Amino acid sequence: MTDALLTAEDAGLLSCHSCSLLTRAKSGADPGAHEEQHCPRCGSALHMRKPDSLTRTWALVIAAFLCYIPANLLPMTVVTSLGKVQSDTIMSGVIYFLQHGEWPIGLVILIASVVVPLTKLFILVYLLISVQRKSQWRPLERTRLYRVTEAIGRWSMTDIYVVTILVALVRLGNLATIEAGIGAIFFGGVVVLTIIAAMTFDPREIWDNMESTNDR
Amino acid sequence: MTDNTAGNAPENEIPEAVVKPRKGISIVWIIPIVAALIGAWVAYQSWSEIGPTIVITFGNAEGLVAGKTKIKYKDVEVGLVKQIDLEKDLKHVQVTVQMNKGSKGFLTKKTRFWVVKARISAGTVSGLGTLLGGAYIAIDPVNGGKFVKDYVGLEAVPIVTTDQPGQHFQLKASRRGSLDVGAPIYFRQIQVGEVVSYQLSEDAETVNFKIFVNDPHHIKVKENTRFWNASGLDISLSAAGFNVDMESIVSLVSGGLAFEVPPDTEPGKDAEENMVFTLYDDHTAAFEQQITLKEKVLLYFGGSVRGLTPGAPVEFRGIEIGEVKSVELEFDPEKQDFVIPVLIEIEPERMGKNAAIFSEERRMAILSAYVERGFRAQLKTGNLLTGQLYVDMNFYPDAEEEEIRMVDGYRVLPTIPTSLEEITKGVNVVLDKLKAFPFDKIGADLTRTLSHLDTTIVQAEGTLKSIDTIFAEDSVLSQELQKSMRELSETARSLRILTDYLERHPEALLRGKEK
Repeated sequence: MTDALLTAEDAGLLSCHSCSLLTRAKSGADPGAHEEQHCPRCGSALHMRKPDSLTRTWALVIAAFLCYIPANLLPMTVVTSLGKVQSDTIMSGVIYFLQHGEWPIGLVILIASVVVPLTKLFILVYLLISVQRKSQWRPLERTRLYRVTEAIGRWSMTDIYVVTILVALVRLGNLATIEAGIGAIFFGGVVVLTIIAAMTFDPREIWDNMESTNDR
Repeated sequence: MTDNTAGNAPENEIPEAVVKPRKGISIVWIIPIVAALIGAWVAYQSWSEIGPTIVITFGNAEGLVAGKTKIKYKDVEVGLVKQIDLEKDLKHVQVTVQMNKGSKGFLTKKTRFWVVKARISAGTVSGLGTLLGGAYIAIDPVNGGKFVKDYVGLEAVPIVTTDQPGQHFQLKASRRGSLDVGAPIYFRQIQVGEVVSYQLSEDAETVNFKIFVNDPHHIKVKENTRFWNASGLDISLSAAGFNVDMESIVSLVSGGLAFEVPPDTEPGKDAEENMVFTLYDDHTAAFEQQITLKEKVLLYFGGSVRGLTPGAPVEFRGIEIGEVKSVELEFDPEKQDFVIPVLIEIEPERMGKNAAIFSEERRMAILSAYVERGFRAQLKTGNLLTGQLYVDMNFYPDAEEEEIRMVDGYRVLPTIPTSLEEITKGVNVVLDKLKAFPFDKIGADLTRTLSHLDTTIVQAEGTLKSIDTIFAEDSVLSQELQKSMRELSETARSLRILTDYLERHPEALLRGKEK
């Protein structure tokens, strides 16, 4: 794609994650090593690449997938109104709003709770696979995908916030009470795990493949 | 993983570190494992709560929502409607229900399901909670028995559920009356049960009621208990007067039953489950009909029977012995006159406890003897205000001799006219006689007699006058009479003097008057 460029790794330079100080990597030390190199200025750990990036991201993504199943099957909210108990899962809530003509709310919930987390998970899986297969296909677009993933990740928390606010607000005793269901915990787990997974993934790995092929 | 060189070690004796690829798994895999474990545990939890799936068939799915409608027993959720489908023939609705775990034991053949909705009827208001919370399916679980998967839902709320202690009984009635399902059953005016169902008997001759009496009142139902219809307001206007009878306001609207052991009898053994009783029309009927022997007799009345209705009492010296069954009008072609046959029913037992023991012939012989002695029926006014009549039986020894006839298979007892009728008749006879009296002739005769009398009086005057003259003061007769009277008084005086003297001188009778 491009001519061989001088990368920081090739030059033996490290950039601090915290204070951006450019330091020279200690000779002999290499990216995967367990010797910790530290920033001489702020003392943060320095890595050539995020350590164990692929493994950690995989583990987190798989955990997120596992959590996503109960998050959708188990009730998100348990509404007790006049003695009538009703528990709603994410999808039943979405269907309820759509059926009652409140499609904007339904759509928001659908996007925040279903579309976003799933998109994130699938993007991460795709990125992981593509990195592991040393794909050279459209690294720029893949990097953009990664940035999108990072950016939208936190918006999935909307759902959790809605539930927590409802639980706190609707405390009318026998008239109406809303309680968070066990599904909410799993859903929160999904959101947190995907955010961490996105953090552990090192987008530079995408470009490493470009370098190595260029070298060869 | 990669070469690890200790670059600045020139000495050969110092061994080079062995490079080993990192073994084992990264600690980060604990996260998905933990997630998987938690997920598995939660999955097991929810799976373990899932009980059997059953299908209930209903006539319609009014108020039922898939995924929302609950199955409740004593307000405890025991299941959830999963799916509502139409049957293939489009006649019924199949409701698929996911029951909770552990419900298999009470999902047996006798278990019943029904939809609870707000129900407001004359006596009860129930299921108001469903107005806000939506309908739910109620279950009447019956323990013991095989698990059954398919049920037919009840269309109406059952009155009695299996968990209610008490007993069922059956009643036979000639008609339904105003009794409805759920109609109250009273014992001494306290509600102790309800009518569960009613239906025509197979031969459509009677209406069979199924009733339920709650514990502990069911033991009040004895073998000889009598049930009667306490429905509504029993207003009876009879020869006995005006009578209003009512068990309660509720029974006024929705009908009701009452039961009691006849007051003069000993309560019998406790009635058994599903024992069959007769349902009497009213309280009076319930206690009167202990008499089994009934004798139908015809009476022919000549006069008006206005005020005589079926049901009017037949009395003997003021004691009711039967009732009027029918009053008809018949034309007697022989006499060219209308007659009124009144069919009455007499209960001979009321006239003597032995009547039931006697044979038919014996009773007839007695009756014939009675009639010979003047046993007659008569219409009498029972209530002056309303003009109600009743049939009075009594002995009238002066009555004309009559015998018992047979007409249309009924015995005909002789009657005597009504007292009023009798009086009217008597007065009529007098009037007729008066009418026949020859007032005109008597008048003429009287005039003639009076004229005779006139002359007689004139003659009499003459006679009196002559008498007058005879007795006048200056008449000869009078003077002679005065003279005679004087003579007589003279004589009397001298006689007195004589007797005085003789009294003082009795010897003078012998010796003569002294000197």
